[in-house]
Amino acid sequence: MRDLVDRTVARFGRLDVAVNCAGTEGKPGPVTEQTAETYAATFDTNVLGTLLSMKHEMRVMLAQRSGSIVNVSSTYGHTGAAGASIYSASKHAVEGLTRSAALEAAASGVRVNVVAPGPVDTGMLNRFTGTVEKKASLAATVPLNRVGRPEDIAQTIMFLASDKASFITGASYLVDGGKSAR
Amino acid sequence: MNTQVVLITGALTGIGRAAAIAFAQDGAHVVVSVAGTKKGKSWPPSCKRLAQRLVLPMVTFAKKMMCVIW
Repeated sequence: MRDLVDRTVARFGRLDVAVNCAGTEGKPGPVTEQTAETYAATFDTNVLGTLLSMKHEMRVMLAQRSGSIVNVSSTYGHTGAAGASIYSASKHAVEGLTRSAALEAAASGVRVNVVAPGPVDTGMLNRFTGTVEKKASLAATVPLNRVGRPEDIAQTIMFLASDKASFITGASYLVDGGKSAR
Repeated sequence: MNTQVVLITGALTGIGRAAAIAFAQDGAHVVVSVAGTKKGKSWPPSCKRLAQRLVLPMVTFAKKMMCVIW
């Protein structure tokens, strides 16, 4: 990550926006079946990955006294998830990292926010649900009566990254078709 | 205003990919990192065409990482 950030700055002279999107659902299953290995497999990507990404992105942004970071969590970063405890815990951690980093960065004019998507039509959701029928029944639980499109989330990410969100930091945006409103 | 410089992790699939395309369509310099070099070669031509300013098609800079700079 250090290399990536350094090469970006070497080529372009600065870093305006960072979107930390890399994540994994790990190996879903009940708490009683989890191990140190399943924990590490999920937390290394979702939590350590987000932490180290922000570490190097903020190193540049704090020095240039500008920039916007958008992390990606999940509605499961706000609620529990039966059968996906480690995933849920890791996304809660991303929410905490985001708010803490936002507080550290604010004095330098750098903003840090997180988007918390509900079910979105991605490979991860397909792996999570397993079958077309289960995916359809999940979509039926969303007030807007569909799963999200990746573009729905991308638009929110772009908003938070932009100057239109200049007074928003440390915030978590639920983008879930109303699922959390229930 | 200067062209935005945007770094995106997890940009090969799903939400990260949609974000990379959206920022590129917006005219930003988009730097993406993905784990695994083989996957990195599967960027479809349509994504590359979005690139307003193709600088280096692919740069491998670490054992398990690759960055694509538009």
